[in-house]
Amino acid sequence: MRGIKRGKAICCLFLFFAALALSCFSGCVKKSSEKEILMWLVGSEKQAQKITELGRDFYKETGVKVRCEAISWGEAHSKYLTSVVGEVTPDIGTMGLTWGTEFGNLGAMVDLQKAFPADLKAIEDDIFPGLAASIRYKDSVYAVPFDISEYIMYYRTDMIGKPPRDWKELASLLAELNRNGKSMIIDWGGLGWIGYSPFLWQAGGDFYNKENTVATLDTAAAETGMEFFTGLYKRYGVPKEEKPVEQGFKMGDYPIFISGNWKMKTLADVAPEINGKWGISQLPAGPTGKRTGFIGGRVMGIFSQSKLQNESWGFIKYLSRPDIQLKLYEATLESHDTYLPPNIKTWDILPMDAAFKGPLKAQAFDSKGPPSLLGWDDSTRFIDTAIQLIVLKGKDVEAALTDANDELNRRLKK
Amino acid sequence: MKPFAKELNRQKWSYIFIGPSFMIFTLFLIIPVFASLYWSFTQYNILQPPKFVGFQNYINILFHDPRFWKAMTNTAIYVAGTVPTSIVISLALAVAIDQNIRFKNWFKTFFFIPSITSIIAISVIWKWLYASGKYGLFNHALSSIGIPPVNWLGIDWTLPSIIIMSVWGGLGYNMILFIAGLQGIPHVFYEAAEVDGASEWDKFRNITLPLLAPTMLFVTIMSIISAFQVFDAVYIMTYSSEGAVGGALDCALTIVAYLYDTGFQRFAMGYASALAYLIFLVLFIVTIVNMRLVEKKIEY
Repeated sequence: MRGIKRGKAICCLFLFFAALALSCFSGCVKKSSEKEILMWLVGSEKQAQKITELGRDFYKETGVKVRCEAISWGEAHSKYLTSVVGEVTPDIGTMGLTWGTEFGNLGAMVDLQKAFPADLKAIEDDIFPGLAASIRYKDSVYAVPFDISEYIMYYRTDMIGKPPRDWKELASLLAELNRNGKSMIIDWGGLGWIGYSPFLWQAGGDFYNKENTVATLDTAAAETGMEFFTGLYKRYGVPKEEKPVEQGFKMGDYPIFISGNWKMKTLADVAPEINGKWGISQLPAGPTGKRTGFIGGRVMGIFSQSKLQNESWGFIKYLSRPDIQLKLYEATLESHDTYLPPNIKTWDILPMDAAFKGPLKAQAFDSKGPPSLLGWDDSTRFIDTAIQLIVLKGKDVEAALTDANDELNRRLKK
Repeated sequence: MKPFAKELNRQKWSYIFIGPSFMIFTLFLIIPVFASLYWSFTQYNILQPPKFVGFQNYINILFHDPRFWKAMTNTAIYVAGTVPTSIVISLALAVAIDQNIRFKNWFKTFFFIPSITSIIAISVIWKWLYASGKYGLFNHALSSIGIPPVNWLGIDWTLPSIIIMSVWGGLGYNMILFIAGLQGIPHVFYEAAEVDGASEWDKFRNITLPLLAPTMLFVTIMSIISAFQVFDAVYIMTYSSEGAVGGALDCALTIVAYLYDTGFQRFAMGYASALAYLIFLVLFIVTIVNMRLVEKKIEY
């Protein structure tokens, strides 16, 4: 009898907790009459907080609330995918540059070109041209830039008088550095397609033709770019494996390196000893005279499942405004985040040291993003393999590029 | 009441109590296992409904996928590199600690710490130790005794570097299992052997090793399974800024890392599920063979 009594008591307790949990749950999903946009940000918690804070001003203007949650880069892609399948997407998502096209093609994102053509044009007119090309897939645009990351060259002003302005100057500088046991690091995307792309573009080549219908890595320009890029590793001692860039730069073993703009922040943080002893410059010009770099960054778009599409677009437009981007930039000065505004007009009012602002802005104007086509992410590894075979296994440049080109073309036909 | 219903009624509290864990087990283990078996016969990218393709995924993997074979080879090298080394060293440690020595528990704790440390944290620290040129601690130590720096995370050394780290990381766990096994061996055998004038080596070979066989079997099988599924270490040591896993020219791409790349980077879920079932098949065969080989020799 006692056993049964105890059993009943436990059962009651169980039911009590179940009821409690259920009531909590229904309380959570209870809809308030106020509209609230949910935004996911790939990035730091601090930046998400700042956006929520900016959302309060937006609320005053529009009466629509904004809540921004941070998600990490590592899990972001799968998190977005599962949210689409589970029908629990946020209203706005920030993501990697190429994802917008990918998700958009699967029907998960609003085609901004169709939904808000006039507003979109206004935003597109104000962003750097390389970015504008990268977000457009055929006649659709699924996301607009949230910020930019760009390639830039760092050099020690106390060790290198003038940064190299073209390939020839770079080669002779490296030869001189090599004589003293020093060299250069290609940090972001070294031995991969990101590292190669500026040299490809500077040589006048590209990954595909204009219409993105045929791969063009079998051209003379692609070969010239590859020859020079891989030559940096083979002839000028650019390290083939990861190096602690900041340490090498600080110690002077690598008084010059190419990386993303975020290294400006990390250098200031981890190598304060050399503050004032380094500068940045645009990439050296190739045979065409162009100094084209690589540009990436985060984009933001609206999920098709969102019930607040117009309101979300309102907030995206708000985040694209120069005065708001300025606030986002200022917030990063105190935190460890990086944020560079994609709106060209913001750059006119950006409170940044001219020695940094000049090269960054000039480079952003002469930069290109990854090709905007489906299956690009699946094709990049063939370019990586070609580069690695040339540098690590001594494969012939032309043969390696032909192989990669064939694979790229095969994927275009899929 | 029917006997079944009666029995059910008698055991109802047991069923109620195992209910929640049974539900979780079904929801997160049994259903996914069968779902992925089905997906392995489909083309599936998560967003669009799976398309049935029969055995095409398996055929593609086995006959048209050089990356799979590269990953398999790397995994075999990794298993062969870590399992025997780790067993020999951890057995030696266990035997040493099992003697009447001072600070016994201190040693146990000391060697066990890596096992309870997150492999991610370990990998990050080791990546720093392995840093190339003169920057890493290992190379610094090597250069101080006149050996030129090793390119630990270069194309030839990445896999061996991960093996070294994994052996170190897995020592403590195996050691504790061996210590438990050693303590289960009755002391009388050793006393009898001593009376017969057996040397330490004789005792180890003829008493310790045979009586440790069940533990040895368990440790071997578990080590092979976990070595076969190595992922975190490979991921941390070889992850590039472009999202590629496995290092330059796939020099350290292991099979689970490849599965991750296919399933969670490129979202070919059908293909990744087929890979998962092939991994399961290999592990199943290895385990059966292992058990058959050792079972006959076990004296309980």
